[in-house]
Amino acid sequence: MESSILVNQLIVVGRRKNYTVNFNPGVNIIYGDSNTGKSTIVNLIDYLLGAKNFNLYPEIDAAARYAALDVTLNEDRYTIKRDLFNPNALIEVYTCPFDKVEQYSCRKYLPNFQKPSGSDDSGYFSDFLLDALNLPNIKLKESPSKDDSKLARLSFRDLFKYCYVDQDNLGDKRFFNPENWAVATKNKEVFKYIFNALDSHISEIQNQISEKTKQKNKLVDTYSTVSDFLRESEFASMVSLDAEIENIDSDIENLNMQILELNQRQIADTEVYNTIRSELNKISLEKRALTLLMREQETKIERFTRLKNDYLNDINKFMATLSAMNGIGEVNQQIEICPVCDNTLNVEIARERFDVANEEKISHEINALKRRARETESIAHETKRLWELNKVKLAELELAETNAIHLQEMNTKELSSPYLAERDMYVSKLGELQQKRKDIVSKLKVRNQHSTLNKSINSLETKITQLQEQLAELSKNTPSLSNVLSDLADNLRDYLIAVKIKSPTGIKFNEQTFLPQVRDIDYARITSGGLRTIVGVGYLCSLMQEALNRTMNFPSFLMIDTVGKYLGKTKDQKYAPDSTDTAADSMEAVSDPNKYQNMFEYIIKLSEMYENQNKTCQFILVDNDVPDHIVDKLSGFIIAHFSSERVNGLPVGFIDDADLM
Amino acid sequence: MLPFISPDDNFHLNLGIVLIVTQTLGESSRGALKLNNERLHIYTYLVKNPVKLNLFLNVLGKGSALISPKDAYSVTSISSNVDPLFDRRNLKALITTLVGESLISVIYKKKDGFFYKLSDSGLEKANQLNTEYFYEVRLLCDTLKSTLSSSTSSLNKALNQVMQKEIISDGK
Repeated sequence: MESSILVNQLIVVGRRKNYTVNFNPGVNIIYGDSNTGKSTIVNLIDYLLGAKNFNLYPEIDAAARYAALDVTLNEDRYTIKRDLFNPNALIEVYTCPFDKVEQYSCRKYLPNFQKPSGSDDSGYFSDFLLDALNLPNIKLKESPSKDDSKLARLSFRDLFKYCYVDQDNLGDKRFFNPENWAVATKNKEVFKYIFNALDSHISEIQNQISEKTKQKNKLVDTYSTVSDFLRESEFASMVSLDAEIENIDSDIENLNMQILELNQRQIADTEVYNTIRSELNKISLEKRALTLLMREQETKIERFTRLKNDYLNDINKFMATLSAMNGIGEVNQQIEICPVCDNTLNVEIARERFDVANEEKISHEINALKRRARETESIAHETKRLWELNKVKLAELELAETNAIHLQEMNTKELSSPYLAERDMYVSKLGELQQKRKDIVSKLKVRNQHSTLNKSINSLETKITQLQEQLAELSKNTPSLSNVLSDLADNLRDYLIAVKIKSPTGIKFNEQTFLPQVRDIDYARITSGGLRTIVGVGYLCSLMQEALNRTMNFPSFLMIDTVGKYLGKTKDQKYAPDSTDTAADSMEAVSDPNKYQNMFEYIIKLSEMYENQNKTCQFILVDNDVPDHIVDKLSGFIIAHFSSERVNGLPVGFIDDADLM
Repeated sequence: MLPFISPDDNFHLNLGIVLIVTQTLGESSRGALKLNNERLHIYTYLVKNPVKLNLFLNVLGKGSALISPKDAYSVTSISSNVDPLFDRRNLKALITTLVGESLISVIYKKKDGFFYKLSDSGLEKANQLNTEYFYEVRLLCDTLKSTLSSSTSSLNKALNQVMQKEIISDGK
């Protein structure tokens, strides 16, 4: 029975944009400087496949909203969506590629076994994955040697340990051989499970078949009920819904175009409006200047008119003076004595206090005043004339102003109001269409859900068939674990010879621990960290290779973080030197770049074998740097390459705009 | 000395004005003497400032004088010179001259003091003053006849009010 996990795309939905990495079937290589988010990518995949938690990197923390994984499990495409900040939030699964998510409704799963399932109608994410991969969902004995042992649920995570090695575990002595006895026992049980070597396997498969058949029948019922309902309620078909959405989309585009055009026209109208306004401003400025000038002229007229009147009054007074001089005549210059008090009445005093002028001088003054009166008169007259002219000008300006204001009103009324009405119309239409689109999309969700039911039925049928085949095969020849181990040892030997380690002898699998031995030394006792890395990768590869030939409960997926660990080629020696015996490393010559290259070539060959058998597999390999001389050979497999210095325009990391925040 | 001569300060013009004021306002219609220093001073000031005269009559409720637009609409009419009101020496000099020329007689009335009236030669001379300006002065004096029955203190009060109005309106 073949199972496969094929990651198509990893998406981190960010606030500003989405960060994506695309994956291919077969080998995928991610490399780049440390701290550029390589491990983030594999950690995210791990997290989206149900890991307990996810270490938030600052860049992700700042930029991301949630993560999604577009993945093909066996034949079916799924999108898994998970909250990055709350690992206990329900995981959403859509039965469609990521870009169609909005048209499908999702199922929600509990990320772990902590809460009882069914509490809010959601099952366990692990069950979903096992189911989707058509792997038997069983319980394992905690103490395999006892018949009445407690049973523990097999989780997808137990299995996934064989599919993903992070950079801490790879090459570690405790890799697959934890000091915790319970975990070690479980690992062994899982190993047996992978190779269908569990005692209870046949009965488990029978259970599985009956379970799945039950499920299928239930689904068939549901499907036909829903079909009837949809038919009776004259629910639009998927095809017509799709067509309708397409129509609405083109209508929306048209409307947007029209609104854009309208906006452009309004800009042109605004130009006219601005011209009128500047003209109005000019007119009002001129008007003010003119009014000011006219007021000055009015003052001038008043002043000169008054002055003229003064002159005329003065002329009259001088005329009167002349008359008085004639009438009264010269005044005697004598001194009288008051008959009562003997004071002198001095007439001369009066002469000192008043002007005494002769006739000639007064006549001269009268003439001068007459002339001045005429002059002031003519100035006042001229000013009056100018004022009249200005008055006409002012009237003209006022007319122009009235016209301009009228024009402005016309412009606003005749041009803007219909524009606004038109725009309102478009906008409301647009709103209607968008609402309608939403309605149809939700209808489409119903349809999609319905067809998903059908798909599930089909996939259940396939799974049942597969299980039946497996059952038949198992009942024919139950695999013996020693056969399995010897086959695995053959695979490992092929690999170690291909990698060209020194003296590839004594290669077998320990019958107790199910772990590899080289030169009859248990994996955990190998002193060279580099060799442990090579053997560890080989161990996992031998499982991958075995899955080609044998019916296994293994999803043909391998994700290795820092393939070159302890191989002495990594720029950044961040691993504690006591984890590896450097002397042993140099003895083994693990830093020989050829060995590294051989490992890659072996993996590539393995994926080609899958391809030749028309089977699906996926390797995701992460490393700090790939030596230059093999980059060319591997270039076809590199899916992401980061450079913290942005060398050659390479992205700075997975979150490629972190430095812009 | 200013380069032009002011007609208002001309000696003969002012003699003529005082003659006409004394002629017109010297006696009431019943022949009672009315013109003492104070009244003569007020009346002379008013006929030389027709706009003030108009206001003065308004305040006293004695109607208004017909003043020519030339007087009303002039620079003088919007400026006010109150100095002559507080200086009676000019007027006394004029009276001295006219008394010396025997054109005005001074009459002492028991209790009421000295009054002025035209002498016969004064009347003759006054009747010779017939230019347009003196004609106007006569008209103005005629309008003042109605105030002869008012006491000098009420005239002073009215004049004060006119001046205050002027000040208030100037201060605007």
